[in-house]
Amino acid sequence: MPLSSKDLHYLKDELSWELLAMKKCHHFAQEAQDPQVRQLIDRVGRIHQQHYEILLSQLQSEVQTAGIQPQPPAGGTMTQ
Amino acid sequence: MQPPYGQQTPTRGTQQNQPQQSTGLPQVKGPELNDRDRLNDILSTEKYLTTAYNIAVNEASTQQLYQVQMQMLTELHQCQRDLFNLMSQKGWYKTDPAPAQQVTQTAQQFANYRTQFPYA
Repeated sequence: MPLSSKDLHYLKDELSWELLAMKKCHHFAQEAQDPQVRQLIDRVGRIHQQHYEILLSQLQSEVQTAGIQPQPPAGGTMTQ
Repeated sequence: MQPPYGQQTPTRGTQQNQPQQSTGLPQVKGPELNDRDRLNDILSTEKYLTTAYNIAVNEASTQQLYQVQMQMLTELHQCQRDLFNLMSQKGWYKTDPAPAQQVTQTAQQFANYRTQFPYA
């Protein structure tokens, strides 16, 4: 089953947010004063990293099954 | 009893090994972030993410993608609950009880609406 454009759009969105969230959690966990706060934020951050891996594997398996040719990396992939 | 929180410069990039006593009180109120701010900010992030997943889940084109995202949505809801619980425990998320009279009144009001029920 191929991904729809919408699926791809949401996956990109989710991946970006999961990345931001894990970085933020990691940063805050190191700064936190209270051990309980530190541990919880750290645990949440790890969950975000797991989610990122799962989402990425969704994309990667799609690439393999569809046999999509990888695009040569261009200078700017962001289309305005 | 508890030593007041002094001006602690957060150590960046290194693990702090000084055990901090949990006072449950907000730290010195200055321009720098405190633990309450941190929890609040993470909670906001989780709220945004659950909203994003919620919409994505509704529009997933395959069952597999639906289930994967649904699973993550559930996990993030649990994270939110854990964050909320810790904030409550620390006294950083105060909720005020609804006036008993209003609760009684509302219950009565909606009990009365049963007359509008379409099903026997």
